Amino acid sequence: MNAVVRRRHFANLVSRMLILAATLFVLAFLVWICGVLLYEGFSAFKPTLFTEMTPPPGESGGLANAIVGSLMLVGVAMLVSTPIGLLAGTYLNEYGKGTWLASVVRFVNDVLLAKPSILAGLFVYEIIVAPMGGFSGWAGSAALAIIAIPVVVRTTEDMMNLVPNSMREAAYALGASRSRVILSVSYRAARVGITTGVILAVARISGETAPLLFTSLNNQFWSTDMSHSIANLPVMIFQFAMNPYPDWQALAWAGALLITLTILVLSIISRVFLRSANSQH
Amino acid sequence: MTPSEMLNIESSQSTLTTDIDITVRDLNFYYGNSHALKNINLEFGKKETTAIIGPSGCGKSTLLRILNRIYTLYPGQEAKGEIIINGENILDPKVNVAALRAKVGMVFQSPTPFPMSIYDNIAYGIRLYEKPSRREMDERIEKALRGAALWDEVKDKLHASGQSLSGGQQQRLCIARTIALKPQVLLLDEPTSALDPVSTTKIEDLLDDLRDEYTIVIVTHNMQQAARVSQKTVFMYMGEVVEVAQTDEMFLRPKEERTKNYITGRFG
Repeated sequence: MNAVVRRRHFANLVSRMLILAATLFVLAFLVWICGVLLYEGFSAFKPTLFTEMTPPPGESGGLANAIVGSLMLVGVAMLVSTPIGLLAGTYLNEYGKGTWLASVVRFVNDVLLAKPSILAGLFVYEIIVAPMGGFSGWAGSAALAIIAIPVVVRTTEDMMNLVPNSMREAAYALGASRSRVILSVSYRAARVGITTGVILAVARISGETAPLLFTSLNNQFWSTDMSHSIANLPVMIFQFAMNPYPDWQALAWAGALLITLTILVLSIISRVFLRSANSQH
Repeated sequence: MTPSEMLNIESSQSTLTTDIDITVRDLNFYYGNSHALKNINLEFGKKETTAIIGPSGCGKSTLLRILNRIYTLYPGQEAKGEIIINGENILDPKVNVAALRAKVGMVFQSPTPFPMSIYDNIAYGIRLYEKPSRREMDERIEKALRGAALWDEVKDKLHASGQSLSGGQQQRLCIARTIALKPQVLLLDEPTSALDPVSTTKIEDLLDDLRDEYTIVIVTHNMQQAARVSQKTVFMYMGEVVEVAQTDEMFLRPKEERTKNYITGRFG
């Protein structure tokens, strides 16, 4: 081996070690976090989590009100943000291409995508909570929707952009109108990707805490009334984890595990979806 | 209503024909400020296959894309002049584009099956204009697939995804989808350039069969293909029509120097 080749081998070895070290460093923390979460979460996991209400300190209880509250908050938020995001994403890719308005909308959407989520909470606090005179589930859903919409807009646009233009042209060449092309060709070709985007948006908002602190707050009791403050997992975790009572801390761990598992399942579903879509081609 | 009724034209059989199906008069085309086609005057014979050849960027695909007005999908593209099909100037903004496109079908360079079954791929176009009964639809689809020489290969899997077919089969599916609308003109934009030689031969054989029923305009990079499938050839260069002749005449005795240089492979 001559000197140049030896030096290249050495450089390769060094960079491989550095890359490996960096990867292990990151993974170690991930494993640590997950390990603690699984250990603490599963020790607190019991069937009554799903049937009993959040308890006062010192008594036993579950997370039923928080689970149902979270489902309602996320459900309403997605009912609002899915159609809006879908339509806006469709506009950006199918109608607005190259227009001034579309570039502005796309830019603003990207900013919204990256904004700290607490801003959504403060915004909704100013325009809904303060004028209405109190925390409410509706306000919580509004804040979550503000976070979910940019996710849906972005994935819808990206996924529709992947539909080959030649496929659209082929439909136009048969005499199809634009709305028909979008409904029966573009959406059809992009449906798996768009569904994945919606699932990812659900995963994104189901763990959001900051926006709910200012909007839906929390509720120790069973309530499905969206016009009042409503229990939810993230804020429950936030409050219980900061308390000195071991029962509450255990419930917080169980709630954290529940959210993490939900997001894990949603991510797996979306990946399976995407893979089945890719294997069609 | 059939497409021809929508266009309010008499069927091709009943007209006292000249042999001309499409007349292009003083056609100029602009992509924004760029003048892509210059004073094109051409005639395409009825039930005749015309090949358009020329180097990349000469405007041959552009010309094809004007004949069914697909260029109007994109802003900033403008055609001036006249294109007469069945006595009507199809560049007139008042023309019903859907009816025009049913009459003037188009097949693209890469196969473009829709993300649906083989059956639905063909039914898609038919349903844009008609609501045939289930049985009639089945018959129309069989006829279209037979017409595109694909029936024997797919008759047992009509409900499989159109995208599961091979490239050559997909392209024949696209041809079936187009002829299911009973068009008068078939436009083909380099229909075999994405296909392997065996699939290409099948498509060329198919074009031979289709010649008796349709006016065909095919853009191709492949001069052997032009020689094999067409009766008339148009040579374009830099947005102009340089020479139009019977195909064998053009390849044996080109009149223009530029044609000769191109078909002998000196440029392009």
